[in-house]
Amino acid sequence: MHAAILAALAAAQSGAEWPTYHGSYQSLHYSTLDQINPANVGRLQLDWVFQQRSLEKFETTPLVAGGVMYLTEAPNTVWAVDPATGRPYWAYEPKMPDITYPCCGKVNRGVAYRDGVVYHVTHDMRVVALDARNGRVRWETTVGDYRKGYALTHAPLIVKDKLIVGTAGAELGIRGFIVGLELATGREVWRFKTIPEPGDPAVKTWGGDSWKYGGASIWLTGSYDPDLNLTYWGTGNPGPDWNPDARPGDNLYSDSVLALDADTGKLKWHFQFTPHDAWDFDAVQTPVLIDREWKGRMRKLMLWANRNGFYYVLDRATGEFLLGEPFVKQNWAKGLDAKGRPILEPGRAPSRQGAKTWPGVQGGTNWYAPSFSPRTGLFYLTAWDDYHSTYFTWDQQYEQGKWYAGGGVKAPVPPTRRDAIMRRTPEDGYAAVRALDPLTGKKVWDYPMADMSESGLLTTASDLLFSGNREGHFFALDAKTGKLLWRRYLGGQIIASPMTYMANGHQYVAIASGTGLFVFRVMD
Amino acid sequence: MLFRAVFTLCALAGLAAGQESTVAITNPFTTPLDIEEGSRTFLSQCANCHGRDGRGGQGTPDLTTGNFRRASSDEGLFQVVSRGVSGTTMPAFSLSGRSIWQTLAYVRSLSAGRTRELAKGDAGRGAALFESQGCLGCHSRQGKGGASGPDLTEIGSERTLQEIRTSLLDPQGDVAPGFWRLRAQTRDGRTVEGLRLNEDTYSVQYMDGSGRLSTLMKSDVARFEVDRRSPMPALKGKLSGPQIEDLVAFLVGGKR
Repeated sequence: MHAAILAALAAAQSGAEWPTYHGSYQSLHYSTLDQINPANVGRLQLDWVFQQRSLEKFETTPLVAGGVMYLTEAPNTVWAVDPATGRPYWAYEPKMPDITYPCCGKVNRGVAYRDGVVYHVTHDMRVVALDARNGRVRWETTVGDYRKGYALTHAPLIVKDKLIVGTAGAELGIRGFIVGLELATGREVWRFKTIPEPGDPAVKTWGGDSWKYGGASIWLTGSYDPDLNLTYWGTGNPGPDWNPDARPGDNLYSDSVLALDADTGKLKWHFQFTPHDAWDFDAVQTPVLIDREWKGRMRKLMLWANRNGFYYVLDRATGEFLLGEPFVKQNWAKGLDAKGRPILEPGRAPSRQGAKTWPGVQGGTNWYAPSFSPRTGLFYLTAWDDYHSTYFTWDQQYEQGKWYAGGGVKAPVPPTRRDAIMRRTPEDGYAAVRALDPLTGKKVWDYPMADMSESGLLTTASDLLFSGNREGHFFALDAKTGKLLWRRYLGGQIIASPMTYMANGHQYVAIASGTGLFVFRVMD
Repeated sequence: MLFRAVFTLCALAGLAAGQESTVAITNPFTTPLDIEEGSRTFLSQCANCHGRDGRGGQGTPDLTTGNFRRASSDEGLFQVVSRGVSGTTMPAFSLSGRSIWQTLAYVRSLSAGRTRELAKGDAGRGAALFESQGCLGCHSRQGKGGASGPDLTEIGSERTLQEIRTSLLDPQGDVAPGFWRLRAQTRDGRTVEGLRLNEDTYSVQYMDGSGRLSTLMKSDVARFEVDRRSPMPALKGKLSGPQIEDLVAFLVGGKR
């Protein structure tokens, strides 16, 4: 088994394929490939397109593993396609209930692969292992009840002999969890509840019965450090989202990063970015793991640009807070204290009349991938800057399976779907690809865009940075300077993160836009 | 499953159950008590995206105009709520059929209230003013008129009387981004002016004074400004209070 891990890691580092959702356990969204480079990127051409049949948001980031590309189509179809031509080998289409209840689009972000098996999750709470040769089901297990508001949307993470998966649903009064399943059988080995139960001292961070409906969902794949044997997961908002008075206390472990023992699921440490969150600042971002010198000694670091507008550096062995700096305009916190706890600015929490607060409800950034390039030493993210919302609160009773948000939001720009015509005004804020010095959080360069962006990032060993935006552009920047080197207008909104791989001797770059997956390579 | 539920509800309401689906299913729960119950469901399940007043929020449609983007019949609206809208953030709602009907009754009551608002002026005199003031130079109505201002055919369902009044008296108050003016100087010395229709990171789409549609690449531009003021003359002081009310009555009354 250990050999398999090393092989998987080596594949991740060699960069020939894209074996996991984040590209590697460290989740750098960095590839060692350099065939596409600043000198030839101008000749990058569209090679093939995969058109999904669904009209849902296309949030997939494909894998390429064992010479095959695996991608998901909303709501829950898995495709195996040839990575050089896009021709499908097979499709897995599970029977689904008439109605499922993912809060914000019937999306799926990708799959996991190991040794001839593809692992997939569904909106009706099934985890499915598929034979990679033909898509036939090897095993299937149900980890929760979708009728109560639970849903699975993210690509699973394989660690050693386990498959790790968490549940979405924090807008519907669920209680979040992460499960470790036996890879070979689907048998549940451990379950970590992201909201503690009576008996655990942490339950005191929830007033009254509020822990029962507190959310803290998981909807993005975590990271893994094999040396520490810790797997890291960001958790979602506490519920009800915008009525914090309904849940007095810090509301652990919402809006946190959890470091779990990969074998047992036991909590090693946690760090809560936004205690007693009032704004829906999910900490559902990618845990980026790097080893760097910090104040004179090498440390295992975790870089985290949070939806709440602050950029954090943590020690990933201990959870110690090392740095926290705002990376976009924010007005809800005066700053962070020595332990990283926000010092709140009064009057910014949701109110009956509405409180105008920066960042807005989609945050300073969100779930789409940031990137770290070991070559440039820079941390990159998609930022929504100078962007606000007006947050309202009202009373709401919990009812099983129903929306449990306790308030509402007015925002000047659409949160996830663009308008037919771009209506953003300069006062509404803007999106940028932003490069930060990871050790200070200071901005190094910025690539601003006219509209907002929910595109993730990819950097390569040739110092290219790929990203896109809501407008439908896909582009390559010089990762050192932020200068635009190449772009194509794909037309469809990009709500996914790009990836890259080798096939037939060519380096390809792929991005989902609209309802198509667009795949490029350099043409002579 | 859903249709069975719908037909059951129809039977409950005393409608003919089990008929062919060519029979439109209308909302069986529309009493004032239903509307009141629907308002509570709306607040807890819908308002977080559509706003407490139903007028839209974060990119969600205004539900108070009486025109719905995804469906117009009761049955269609029921489907929108129970199944969600594919490709948007509108989810499926786990509500009972009765609760969905009551919520729809409440939503319809929002627009009913608005269209019941009576204009006090004389629509006939308003029509004459609309001509004499040259409104059609910029605005269109029922297929006639200019293109540099908003089309006013449906204005009665898109805006309240007070909003229309305000726009006439003080047009600078709220100019939609689709009606901003573009002024640019290109690197080769040309001056470009027009109505800014759309924009992205690299280009601006506009309509010039002759009605021609063009795209200007930002890389070709030396100077670029967007004028967000309205070219519409304020009618405050030009028309009397009663004349403004006549014009409002005409604009609202012209709703198809």
